[in-house]
Amino acid sequence: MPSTPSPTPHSVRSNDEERVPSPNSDLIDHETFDQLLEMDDDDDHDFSKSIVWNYFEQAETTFGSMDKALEVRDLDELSKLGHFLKGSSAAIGLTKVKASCEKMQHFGNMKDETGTNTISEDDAITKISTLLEKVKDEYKEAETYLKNFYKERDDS
Amino acid sequence: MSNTSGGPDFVKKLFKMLEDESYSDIVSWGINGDSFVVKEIDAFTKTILPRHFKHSNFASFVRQLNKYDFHKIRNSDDSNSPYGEQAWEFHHPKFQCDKRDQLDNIKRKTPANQKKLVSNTVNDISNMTHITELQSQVNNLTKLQTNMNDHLHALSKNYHSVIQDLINFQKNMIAQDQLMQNLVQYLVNLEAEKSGSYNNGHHSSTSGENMTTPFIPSDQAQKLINSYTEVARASFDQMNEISRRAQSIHHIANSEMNNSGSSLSDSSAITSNEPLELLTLRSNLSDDNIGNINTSASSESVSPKNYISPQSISVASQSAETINISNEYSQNISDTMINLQPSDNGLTVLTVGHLTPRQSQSSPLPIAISNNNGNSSIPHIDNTSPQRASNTMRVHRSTFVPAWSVPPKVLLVDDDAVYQNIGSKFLQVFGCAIDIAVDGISAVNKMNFEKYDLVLMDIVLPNLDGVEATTRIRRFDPNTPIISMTSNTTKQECIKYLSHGMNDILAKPFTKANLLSMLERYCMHLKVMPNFQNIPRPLGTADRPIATIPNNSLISSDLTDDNLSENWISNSLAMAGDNSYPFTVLSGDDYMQMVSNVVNTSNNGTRYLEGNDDNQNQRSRKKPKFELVE
Repeated sequence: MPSTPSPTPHSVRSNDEERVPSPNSDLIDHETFDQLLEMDDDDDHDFSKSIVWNYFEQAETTFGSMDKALEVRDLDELSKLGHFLKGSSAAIGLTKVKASCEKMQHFGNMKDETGTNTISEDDAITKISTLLEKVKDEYKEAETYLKNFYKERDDS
Repeated sequence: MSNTSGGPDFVKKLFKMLEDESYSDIVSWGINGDSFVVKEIDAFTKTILPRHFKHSNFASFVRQLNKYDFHKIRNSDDSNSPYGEQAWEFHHPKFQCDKRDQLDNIKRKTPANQKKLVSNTVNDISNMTHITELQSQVNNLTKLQTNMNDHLHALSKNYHSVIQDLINFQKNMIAQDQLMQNLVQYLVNLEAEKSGSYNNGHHSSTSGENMTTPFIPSDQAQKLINSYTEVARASFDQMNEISRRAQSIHHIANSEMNNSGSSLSDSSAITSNEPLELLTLRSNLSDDNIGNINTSASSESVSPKNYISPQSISVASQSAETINISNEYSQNISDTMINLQPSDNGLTVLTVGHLTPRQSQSSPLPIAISNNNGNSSIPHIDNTSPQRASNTMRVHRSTFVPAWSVPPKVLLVDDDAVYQNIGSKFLQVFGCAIDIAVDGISAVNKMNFEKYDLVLMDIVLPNLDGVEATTRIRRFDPNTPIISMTSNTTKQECIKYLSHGMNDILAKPFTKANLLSMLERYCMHLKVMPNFQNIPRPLGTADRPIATIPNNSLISSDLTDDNLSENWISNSLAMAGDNSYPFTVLSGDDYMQMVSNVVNTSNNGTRYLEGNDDNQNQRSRKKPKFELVE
């Protein structure tokens, strides 16, 4: 009888080892982000990286649109853009950006940040101008963090 | 002519005749000049009538007089007529001896006659209308009858084609099952060879645990698997076809009921009752089957040579740990291309088909897939074994496929590239075929051209929002489940989604687990039965009572069995009526029969089928394997 070769040993890296170190717990929702990482192949992060880079692109386009909409005081558009970026930020797990986008969605609807009370148009525009700068900062922070994260992974 | 020359010819002739004095003995004016008297009928008939009226028929003469409204004057009482007993005296108010000019006014009794005639005509007309009515009624009835005949004809034609399809389908199933049989046999042989070689080949596994048998997707096995998939797919399509046809029958029946009015109400009542009865019948049957199938899983006295080792199952049910099948069983355990380890309350994941080693290794590697304490739907690698470093293999993720009999086809509607990518990836991992629409309009268009098993619909979309898109889709597709994918999950919004025809809500950002649970809920009909045998099974073994299954028959050939046909039809009809899925996988006992046959152990032929109502099966029993999702 032919003998079957014995299995060659090799190591297995569990998904749990791939947890993201978390300096800012409110910046990223790790449960969500880990879920993306889990979908990666073993040897690279091509999938999650493509998602994240895709998000960067989309976010920057959206910020551009927000700037324009703010210039022409198009609250409706701002609300829609807020909603849009809220969605993709949530998908990545960018908690802060998501929260700010949600506020923008409300302001765009001329509501306060909880979405319950009505505010004036001028008030909404003012709030959005401030918020837009803030959300851009939050985005930068997340971008830097994520880019570092992937850089470390690629290096290791 | 009668107008210009003073009265009708007959009257003129009569007058002229009376002017002739030579006839006075035979016929003459009456005493008062307002009547005339025929004194000698014989002479009158023989001599005068021929001369003046060109005939010799007194009765005819009298009839003519009557026509002109002359009246015979009866002799009153017993007093004799002044002209003799034989005399006939005729009178007309305008026929007088000295008033020739009045003759013009003597007319045939046409008016009276015509009135009579008219009234007759009126009668005739009403009769005619009556007849016409009757005729049209008869026509209608005939037409109705023809329609009915046509309808019956169509029905029987459809019925025949359905039966034909069933037969074809059964043929496919036989082919399928034979393939399965070949496959199983092949694997059994392979295993026999393998275990032999393990024993002879100084295998390093001395600890007596973690015996998992290797599986090589050799060419032959691969071919078998592929052809099996093909056959399964064909069967599936055919089943769809069958249910479509049954649906159209249902439609015909419905429209017939509506059109034919009261005269058909009896038959329509029958038609509408029937599916109900059949449905009930079917649900009874499936209940029975579920019970029996569940008990079979717990039957411990099945031979270890079974395709899926019953030991592994019973071990698994006793312990939530992953199983280490001891070495002593290894000789008997069939090589399972599906190597699974059920845990207490979790999802059982099994892999089918291509397993690729993580690294390029030519040697076969044992696979151990387990479920992580049941709370996660993400399968991961068995790492409880002390030998895991050497004995386990990393299975590529894309092989972690829930046990679909046919991959669900999912339409993902989202304008956000991030969601498109994540959603696609998840769905791909779950073994789905994916299509993407980026706005509401293209979603509607895609739904128009393709059949999907599930739609994941974002709400805020360019061009046409998800709610409106769903409304439009529902106009032509009431069945396909549409899941609202949204970050706005307030109660009010959810009610709005559901009221516009969406079936469920998947909150954004969705997790892998949430998405999977949606898939499993709405694509249940595409899943391999979770409780039955943990191996892929043929799609369409019939749903019927176990008692009718002949033991040890591979595929029972009683195609014409009434129960069988009825169940099939009732399934389709029930589905058509219930707005539910066009296809339901039926439970299959024949398959179990087949498996046991293939493995061919001496004593297990009937074991599976014995009712053995363990309490531990109650939970799974409550959950029907194939639900008609509404």
